[in-house]
Amino acid sequence: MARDFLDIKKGLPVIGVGLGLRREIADETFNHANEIDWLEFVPENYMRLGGMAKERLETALGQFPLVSHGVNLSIGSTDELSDQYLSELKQVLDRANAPWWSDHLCFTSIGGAYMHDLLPLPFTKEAVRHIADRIKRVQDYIERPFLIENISFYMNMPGAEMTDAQFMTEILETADCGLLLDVNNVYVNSVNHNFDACDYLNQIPLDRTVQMHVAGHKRIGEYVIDTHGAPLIEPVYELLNYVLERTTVHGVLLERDQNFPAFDELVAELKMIRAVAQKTQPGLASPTHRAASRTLEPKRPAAANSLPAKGGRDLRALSA
Amino acid sequence: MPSLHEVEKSLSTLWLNKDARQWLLGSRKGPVPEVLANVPVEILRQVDRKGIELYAGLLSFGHNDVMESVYPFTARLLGKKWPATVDDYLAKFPPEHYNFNRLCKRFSEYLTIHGGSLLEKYPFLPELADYEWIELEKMEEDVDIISVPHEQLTTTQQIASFGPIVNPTLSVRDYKFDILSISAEIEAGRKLAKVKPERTLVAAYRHPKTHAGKFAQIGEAAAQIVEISKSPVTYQALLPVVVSLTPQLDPQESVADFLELVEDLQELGIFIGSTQIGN
Repeated sequence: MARDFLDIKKGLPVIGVGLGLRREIADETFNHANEIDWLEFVPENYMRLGGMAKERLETALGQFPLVSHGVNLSIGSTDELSDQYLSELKQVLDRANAPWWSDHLCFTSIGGAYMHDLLPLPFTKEAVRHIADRIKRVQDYIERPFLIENISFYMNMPGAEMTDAQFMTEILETADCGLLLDVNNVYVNSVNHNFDACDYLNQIPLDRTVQMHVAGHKRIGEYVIDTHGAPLIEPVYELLNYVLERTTVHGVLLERDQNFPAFDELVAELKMIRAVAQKTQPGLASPTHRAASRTLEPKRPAAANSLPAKGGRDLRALSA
Repeated sequence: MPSLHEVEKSLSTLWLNKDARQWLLGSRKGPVPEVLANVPVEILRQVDRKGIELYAGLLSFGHNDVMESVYPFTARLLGKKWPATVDDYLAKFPPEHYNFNRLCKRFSEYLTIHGGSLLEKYPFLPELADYEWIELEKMEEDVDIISVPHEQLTTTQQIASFGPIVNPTLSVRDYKFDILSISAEIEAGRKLAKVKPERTLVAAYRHPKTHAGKFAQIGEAAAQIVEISKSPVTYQALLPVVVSLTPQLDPQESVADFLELVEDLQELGIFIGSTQIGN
C-alpha cells in the first residue's frame, strides 16, 4: 500500500455508530438492525470455524457493514509473524469485505505460546522500529487499511525511553497506519497512571483516527479495569466529543463484551453516542448507507435453539 | 538495556510461572529459580511488582474461565484441585493456537500422561475430558452439513438403489467407561460410586439444523454401519453386515431392526439424507 495513510483515510467510508457482534446478544442485535449502523467482529472467533459461528457471521454480513477487530495478531511480539494466522485472517476479511481492520498495540504471544491477553509493551525505540516494520508487512499482505488500537495497561514495562503518547505517535507515523482510538482506555490509563486524558490526546496524531471505541470499566481494588462490562460514564462521552471536535472519524463502536444488560440499554447508549456525534459530525451520526435503508427491519424470530455457552468469551474480560 | 525480546520473555515468565513470581515478590531468599536464570538483572530490579501480580491474576482468571466453560463436569469433579490442575496443564501444554478455545484442546492428553493420583481415583477422567472437549470441537468444525431429502425405505428398489449420507462431522468414540452416565451423575450433583469399566460407543456430531454438539450412545452394529456408510454404499449392501452382527435374530427381524435403525439415525441427524448410489 504505497499511498500515504491520510490520503487513504479520505477514501474510507463513514459507517456511523456500531456495536460488537457478540454470541450472547447476536439475535437481539439482528432484531435491532434499525438502531445499529455496523458491526465489529473478532476475527479469531470466525477464522476456520463452521456451525453457528459461520451462520452468525453470514447473517451479520447480510444486514450490516462489518469491520474486523482482532486480538491475536501479536504485533508487538518478537516471535515471527504467523503465516497461518495472516492467511486465515485474510480469508475472513475478504469474505466480510471489511473496509479496514484493526488489532491492539500489544503482544499476546512469545516463544510460540499464546497468552490470550493484551500485554503491554516497553516504550522503547527498538520496539517502535520492530512494530512499525511488522505493521507495514501485515498491511501489505492483507491489502486493506490497518488501524492500531491503544490498549489499557496496568503496569509500566521496564526500559522506557519515551512516554505512552510519544510511543503511539512514533509507531503511527513510522508505520504510516491508522488509529483505532479507544477513549475508555485513555480514561482508564489516565486514572491508573495519573495523567490528564486530554493532554494525551493532544500529543498523538488524532488525524490518523479512523475508528473509535467507547466502553465501560470497573474499579477493582486500586485499579480501574477496562472490563467492557459496564455502562459508559460521562468522562468517556466527553473524551469522545473532544476527539470528534478535532478530527473526522469514520466509525464509533460501543464495546460491550460481558455482563450484558437489557438490550434497550445498549440501544440507549448508541443513541447517546449518536447525539454526541450529531453536534460535530452529523454524517457520522446518520451515515448515508443507513439513512437510505433505515426502514423498519422485519424482526427475525429468536433462535429456536439457543446453544449453551461453551468456550471463551469473544474477548477476555475480567469480571469480579 | 534489556532488549525487547528479553523484556517480553522475562515478563511472560513472571506472569505465568507461580514459583518464579513468588520468589521475585517474596523475600528472594535462596538461589534464583532456573526459569529466571537468563532474566537481566535490571528487569528483576525495576519490575513493577504490583503489575506482575495483576497480570498474573488476569491471565489465570481468563485461562481458568475458558477451561471451566469447556470442562464443567471435570471441574466440578476435581473441585479444589481444579485450579492447580489447569495451571499444570497449561505449563506442560502451552497454547499454540490463536483461537482462545483451542487452549483447552489437549486436556485429555494431559490427563492421560500426567493424571497421576487423579487417575487412581477417577480412571475415566481422560475420557470424560475428551467427551467434554469434543462437543465444542463438533460445534465449531469447519465443514458444511448439507442435508438432502430422505424418504422412508419401503420398497426393495429404494433399498437397492439408495444409500445413506453420513453427517461429515460424525466421530464414533469407543470409551472404556459409560461416560454418558458418569456425566449425568456429575451434572445431577450425585456422588460417584466407584466406577467400573463399561464399554460405551458414543456418536459425537453437530446437529445439521441446530448446530448443537450432540451425542448418541450406539451399539456395535450401528457403529459399524455408520463407519461403512462413510463411503458410498447402498442400504442393500449394508444388510449382510447387519445380519452377521445379529446372529441371535431371525434375518427378517434383523432387516426390520436395520430399517428402524436407519430411520433413527436419520432422525438424530447422524445420517443426513439418502442418495442414489451408482446408476
